[in-house]
Amino acid sequence: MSSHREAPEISKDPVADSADLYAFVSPDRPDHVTIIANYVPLQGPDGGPNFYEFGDDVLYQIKVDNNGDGNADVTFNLSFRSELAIPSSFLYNDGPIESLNSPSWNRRQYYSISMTANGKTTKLGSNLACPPCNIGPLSTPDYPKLASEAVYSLGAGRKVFAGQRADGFYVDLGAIFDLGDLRPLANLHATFGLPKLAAGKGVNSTRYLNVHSIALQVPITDLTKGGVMPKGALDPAATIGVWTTASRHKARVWDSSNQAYTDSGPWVQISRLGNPLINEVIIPLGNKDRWNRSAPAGDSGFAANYENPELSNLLPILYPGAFPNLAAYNATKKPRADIVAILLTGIPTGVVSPGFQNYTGTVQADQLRLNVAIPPASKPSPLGVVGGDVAGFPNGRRVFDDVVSIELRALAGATLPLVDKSFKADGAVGVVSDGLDGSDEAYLSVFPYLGVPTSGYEVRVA
Amino acid sequence: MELYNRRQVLKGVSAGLAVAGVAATMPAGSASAAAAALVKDNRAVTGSAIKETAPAASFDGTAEPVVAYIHDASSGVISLFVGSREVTLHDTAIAAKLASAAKKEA
Repeated sequence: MSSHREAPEISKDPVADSADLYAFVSPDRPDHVTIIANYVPLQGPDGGPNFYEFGDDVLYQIKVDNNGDGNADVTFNLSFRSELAIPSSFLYNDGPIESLNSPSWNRRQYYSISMTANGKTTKLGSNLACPPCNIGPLSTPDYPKLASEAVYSLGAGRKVFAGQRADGFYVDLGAIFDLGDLRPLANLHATFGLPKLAAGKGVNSTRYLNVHSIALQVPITDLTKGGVMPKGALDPAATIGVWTTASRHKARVWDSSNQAYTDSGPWVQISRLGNPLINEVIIPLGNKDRWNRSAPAGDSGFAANYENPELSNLLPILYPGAFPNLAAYNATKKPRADIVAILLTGIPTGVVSPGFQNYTGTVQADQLRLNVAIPPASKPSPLGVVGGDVAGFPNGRRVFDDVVSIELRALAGATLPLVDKSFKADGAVGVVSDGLDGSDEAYLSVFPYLGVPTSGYEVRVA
Repeated sequence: MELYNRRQVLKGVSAGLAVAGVAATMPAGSASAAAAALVKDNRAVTGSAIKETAPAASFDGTAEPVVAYIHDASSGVISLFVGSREVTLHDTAIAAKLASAAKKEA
């Protein structure tokens, strides 16, 4: 998964577990950027009676670096508050929820949002309602309407939504974490003396599962250095770096007199996410918790993991004979400058094409870099830049981008010729994939773009 | 459960036992005043250094709980968590007395 349950500690704290991060120029509003941060991963839609919500005791932040120093210049802060409307009932709702002010809705959640920039914090909204979870046809008979009521205008062209969505990320977890098996190539996989596996199609592990999304849509000028509208894609001010964090108070004590937890002390970061799959497959298990607690500005300390990715070294071993050129390159121990550029500094001008860059300078920082001057693609490719579409990952990330295949191919050597012309990618690179060509969930063409969550009542066979 | 007030802690227990991870809460309402007194006493008795991670702010009577954390009593470092702030107190005597009290409690 992009970052679901990716580190030992955060896997035990799902409300603070950042699962996916998206940032893209809005296709229906190209002078605005949409940023979506997903939390509370792998929600079984029927997980009642206490359905899913954000953590009231968690500080959620979306951060933007616009001067390349690895630190946040613009931060959006969200805090949540839950309440019971009908505390005498065990039910999430005691009748159909047909609007956000329905008296039948028991467990509700509200939030406030502020924006910090230039040392000043501005409240953008408070007491904004999250929609309920999608329960079923009797409880939430018109879920799209409920969700649309929870899209708020914050003024100055800004929009926000916070609540349940269908998980738009797709990945074959069951195979990938079975020793790096990619089902389409399973017949080539080493089996350690065990029976051979047959090649097959991928299985989408996030099919019909939900997440909780924080979706923002703001003017480009909210995010760029000096609040300028970039003059073009090569304008240094055109690229921003985005990441999300979750923090908890440093101390927590069960207060038996109040029958509640007491949280106190400074906020400490416990989860972060910029580029997809980094803490998942680039950072080793022994460092994952530390990575989650650290800031992008210090990511040079993790650079060795990007320069010599473990998965790149494993591919020729797991698929004997399929990646001879990669194996030879690995043997040289040369650092993977392509991976470092894509994930830690951005891609300089001219490397991919004369008119493209998303380079933020020499500071190594794991951020989702987006060149906001590149317009949305009229015919987008889920393979993004690897597929010839510079409006997609790793130039930002759209909800439908196939980040698993893109990163697998990059790690397998597809992007190495960009920085080392003598390297020829192996033939197998073009078919490296987990065998999925898209999510089973329908995306929306408008904000918040991620689809209607699966209801608890719906019976679907994977 | 045996309870210790601040005076009992300061007067009634022996020092010198290192304990890792002692946390204590004080009742809301009295917590701010108690913490302020603890800090004040500490300053008066030992002149210890007090460091805050956030800009200086006084305990102003807000009804916030205070959590004290001692990782290593022999270091004399006591972390006080209140609201969104952390106050670091350096006092080996109080740290040792709290650690000793915690041992008795156990």
